Amino acid sequence: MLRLLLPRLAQTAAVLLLSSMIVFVVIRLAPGDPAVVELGPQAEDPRYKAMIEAKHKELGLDKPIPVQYLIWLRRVLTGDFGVSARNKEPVLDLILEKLPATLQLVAGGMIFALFVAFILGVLAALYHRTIVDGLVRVVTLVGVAIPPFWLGLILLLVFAVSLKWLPASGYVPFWEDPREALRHLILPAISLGAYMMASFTRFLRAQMLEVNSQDYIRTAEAKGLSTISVVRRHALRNAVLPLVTVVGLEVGLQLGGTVIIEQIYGWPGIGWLALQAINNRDYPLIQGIVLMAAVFVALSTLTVDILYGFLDPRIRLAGEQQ
Amino acid sequence: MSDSHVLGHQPGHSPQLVGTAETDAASNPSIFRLAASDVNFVVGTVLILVFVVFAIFAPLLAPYDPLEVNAIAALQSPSAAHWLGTDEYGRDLLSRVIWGSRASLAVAIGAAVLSALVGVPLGLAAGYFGGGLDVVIMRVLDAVLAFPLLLLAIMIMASLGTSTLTLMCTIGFLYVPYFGRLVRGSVLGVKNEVFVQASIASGTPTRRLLSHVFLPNVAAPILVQLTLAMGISLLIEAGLSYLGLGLQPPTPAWGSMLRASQGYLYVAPWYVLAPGACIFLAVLGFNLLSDGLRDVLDPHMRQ
Amino acid sequence: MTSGTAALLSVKEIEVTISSQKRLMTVVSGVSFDVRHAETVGIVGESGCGKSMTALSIMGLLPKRVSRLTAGSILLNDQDLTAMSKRQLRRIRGNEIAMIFQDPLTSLNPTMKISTQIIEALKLHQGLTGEAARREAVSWLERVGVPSAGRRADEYPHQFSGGMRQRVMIAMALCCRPKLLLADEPTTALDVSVQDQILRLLKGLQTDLGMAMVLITHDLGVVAGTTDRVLVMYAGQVVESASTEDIFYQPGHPYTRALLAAIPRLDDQREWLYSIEGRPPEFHAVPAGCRFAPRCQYVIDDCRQAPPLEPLADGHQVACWRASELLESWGSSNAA
Repeated sequence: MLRLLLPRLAQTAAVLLLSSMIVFVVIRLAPGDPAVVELGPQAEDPRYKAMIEAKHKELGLDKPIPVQYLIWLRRVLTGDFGVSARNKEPVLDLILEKLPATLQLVAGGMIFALFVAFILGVLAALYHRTIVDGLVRVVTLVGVAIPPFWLGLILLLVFAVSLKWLPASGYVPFWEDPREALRHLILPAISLGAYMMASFTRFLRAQMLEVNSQDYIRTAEAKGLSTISVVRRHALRNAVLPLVTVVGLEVGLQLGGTVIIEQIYGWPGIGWLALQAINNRDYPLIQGIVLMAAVFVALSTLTVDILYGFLDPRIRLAGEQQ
Repeated sequence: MSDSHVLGHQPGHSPQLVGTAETDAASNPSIFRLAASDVNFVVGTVLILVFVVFAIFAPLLAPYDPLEVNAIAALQSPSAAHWLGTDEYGRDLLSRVIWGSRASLAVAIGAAVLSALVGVPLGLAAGYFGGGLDVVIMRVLDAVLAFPLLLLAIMIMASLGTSTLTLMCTIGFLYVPYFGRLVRGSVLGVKNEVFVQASIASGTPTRRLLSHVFLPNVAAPILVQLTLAMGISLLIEAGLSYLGLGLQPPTPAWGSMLRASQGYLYVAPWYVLAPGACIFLAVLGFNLLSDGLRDVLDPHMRQ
Repeated sequence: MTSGTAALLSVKEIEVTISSQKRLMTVVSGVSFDVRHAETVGIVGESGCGKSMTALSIMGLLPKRVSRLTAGSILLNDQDLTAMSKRQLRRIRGNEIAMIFQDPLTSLNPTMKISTQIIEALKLHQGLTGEAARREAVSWLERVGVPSAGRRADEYPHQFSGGMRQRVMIAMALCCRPKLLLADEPTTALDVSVQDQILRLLKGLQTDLGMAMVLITHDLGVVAGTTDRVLVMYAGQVVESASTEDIFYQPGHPYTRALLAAIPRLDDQREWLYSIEGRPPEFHAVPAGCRFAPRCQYVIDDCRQAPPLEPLADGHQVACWRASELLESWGSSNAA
């Protein structure tokens, strides 16, 4: 198994390295002097020129760009993501503080998406070419086209403002009060998960259709199994496997969506933090968040690939035997 | 996924019909007839056309000047005078929405095209030359893909400023890897075909090879992806504008209109509907068009 | 056809229609045959002649929504399968009638252990569970010739070779002791050396279990040592039905003769292999009259009228106007 793993790990590392370069370059292109950012706007006063220069030296800003990158990289790898331009707190701490809220949101969205996708995807495949399939298609079409922020606003409008069934904003950690947490989680989770739900449904449907046309399904039916048994024991097992990879990919990418959703629902997570950072032109913070996001995406894709290799007996046994 | 045919038993269908010109035409319709009968294609095209017309003929279609401020008439609900109501500055929403098509469509289409212009050659190079070049290109594309789209976009926009050109380039940049991978995959798939090997063996110069042998085979998926890219670009632009990082006010843009409407959700709930609906319908249009193109081009090409 | 003994399976005038690309095509028409207990019947024909569809329709496994049994009835022990509910059919599948398919790799679930797949059938039809089910599954694997059955039962399909996989399929199909086995080209996807083994395995098991078998193939060679009777199908119809011996030594239909002539013989002096000119008709453009007429070297005017399946001799039916006439000349020039 390790033999399959090593090249994959190397690839992930290489990609992360390149990603870090992208982050570094883009941030450096931003206007403003990083030394001033660290020291504060007062430092622009010509009286503090020496301090500025000393800071420049410390940050390595007098050296060529590639060297700067390496210095920066070393800091990052030791966990030093710099300090927020706004309140001087370590970026890493700020991120970790807001992380649980975002994780809860993403988990909620994922659960919603998977739950609905399973039902719709399987139904659509079983009732292929009937009204049911058509309806599911409409749902997926809407799901992928509807802007998440619009959906969020509309859900807010209907459920929080008009009907007043659910709270309009706020976050309650799950471990504090599950019921309240859920009430606050529903709308944002649906807003975030809608696109994923549609995407997963389409994928699962396609997978089920393909699996259903496989010979082993015919064999299973020839044994006299009921449709439910065939679907449950044979079709789903094989159809879901590739879905694992897709889920892993999407999980990472949903982080982008959280920026908007958290804003709409006043959800104090990473996305909200990112927006604050943008508005304050807090470059170290922006940098830290984006970097963390890239790491997260890389890790989730890697995890999912490993998981897939584990679940599919063809791959798992090939790794062991050799 | 063209569900346009109905399965049913046709009474009187005689299995004794010998192959005729009728059956021949039925199996090789022209591409236009195929397109016209495909639901996705038709609906998608109609939707997009509506917005394109909006965009081009905005000055003629919009009842009011989208920038005209009229504080007294602020936040009015839809009425005969203002079909969609007015915004917080008293500007007519319908007019702003129509004018919004211009900016949004321009960015969406521009970004998608830019993306293709960069991504396709990269993919061709990676697929055709293979080896080290392939590895390097692919890793770089992977690196871009490793970022959640929106996060990377906001990082770039925050650093580089929010001009329309930057916007277009940023979104285009984000989408390059998708084209790159697509084209590379197609090239790899075609590279081993006999007719390609034959061309290479007969000494066809590389440039001609790329433009006359590979490109035509890759054209169909590119076209499909292009329309899809337009839809996604529109969505990203709307998102960015919503966050204040895209098209800047006072330029009417659907995303920034949504942003504004959020503050007045309790007071003027109708404000939210129009700009969001436009984004939704435009994206839907591009998606359907993309599906339609896929329906039309793929099976046809197989024949 | 039958000589007093009631048939186990009786297929009467079945017709299967499929819809493809907006066209409706009748791929099986007017097919009738009986299978007696413990009898082996071969169905022979080119690809696309409808033999697989016939088998699938017996099992009630025609691909839903694109194909249907549009006419005829299928009787198993005098019960009409076509009139049964889905639940009744499910009790029969795997239990009284079993089927094995051509490609054992794609016909087995790749993500499920072999033992699980066999136990599934045992659990369903015989109510076996746990240890008892596993023991039964392993004993069947041994019976079909899988070495180290106890260990290999926990492996996955991709870990078996083609021949072994087919043995597994056979074990899975026979573990509930069905009275009839439908074998759809069971050896086509296998190496020639393995083909023989599998056929002998099937015959052996058939005798042990007192089971009837329908063997579908395009290869007359497979049929030679295995079957009691043979049906020859062409373009969706049965053109000849006779004992195996009669098919080989007294073929009545020109198509059958052509098939026989196409078998290369070691003592053949010809330089070119014989092949039948032309191709079977497309199902959406089937000619009126005898379907083989366009390719037949014995065609006459009468052939514009479709010849019905008529008895030529005892237990021997042919659908050809000139059958008896041609048989005489064949007999004299082809003494095997």
